[in-house]
Amino acid sequence: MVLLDTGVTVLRDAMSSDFSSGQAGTGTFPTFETQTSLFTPVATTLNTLSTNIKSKNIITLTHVVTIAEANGSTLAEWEILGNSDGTDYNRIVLSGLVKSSTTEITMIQVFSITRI
Amino acid sequence: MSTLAQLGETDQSTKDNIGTRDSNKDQILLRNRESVFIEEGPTQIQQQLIGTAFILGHSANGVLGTSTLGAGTLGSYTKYSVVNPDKTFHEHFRDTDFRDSVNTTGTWDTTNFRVELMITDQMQTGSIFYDYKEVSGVKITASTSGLKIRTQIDEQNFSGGREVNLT
Repeated sequence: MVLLDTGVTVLRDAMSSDFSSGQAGTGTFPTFETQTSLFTPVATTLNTLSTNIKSKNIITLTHVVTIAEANGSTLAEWEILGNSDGTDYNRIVLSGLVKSSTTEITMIQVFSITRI
Repeated sequence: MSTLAQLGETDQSTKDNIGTRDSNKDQILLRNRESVFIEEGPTQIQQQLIGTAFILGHSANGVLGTSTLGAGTLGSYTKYSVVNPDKTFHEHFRDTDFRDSVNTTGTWDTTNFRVELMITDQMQTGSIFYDYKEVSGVKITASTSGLKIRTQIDEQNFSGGREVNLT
């Protein structure tokens, strides 16, 4: 028995179709697997993903915070949300980035599905 | 006088008592196990300055005569951060997102998921970790599935730099 490439593609597509939106926040608490949301989300940054690209077994997602959003906030956490029920897929923490109206921020996130 | 059937049973009984005792404990049903895992890859944060582009409604770039409509320019994307789950970057050679195209002379083979290096070749990645945190060490593991690079962060301000490239 072997899982075919077409089977991997089905899994990839199912996952990709559920990725819906992204959001940034100002929380700095470290990441743990049991977390369920951003610590301090910035509501205006909740946007539909700009891109959701499928290639081979890789999904590349892009989320943009525009020049009009989150200005004055120090963005330090990001998340990807699912389409079906808004569940958070992940949470990322980085050193804070001060957002201003002269800057647009793009977050690029990659997921891959691999056989072992 | 025995019948042919009785002789057969006797013969069977004799053979059954020779050698390893009958048992089903040693029967192993072979299963071709296959697992699929989902890997969260690196996250890149980029920023772009709006430059002189005209943006309707913008407090500075929405003023006609200041930002010329159709003639303004956007700044280029600049890297702000690259972070990895569990501070571990995986390079599976399935894409070229983190290939340093200037300094890499070996073959970054995304068809066969490997890098091929001749005697004078080199491979270099872009920034696989980039954050305002001090790096104290890097652990590299090579396997058939690619390279795994784990970055160690020193919270006590070890002055090891804040960026990791692999050469």
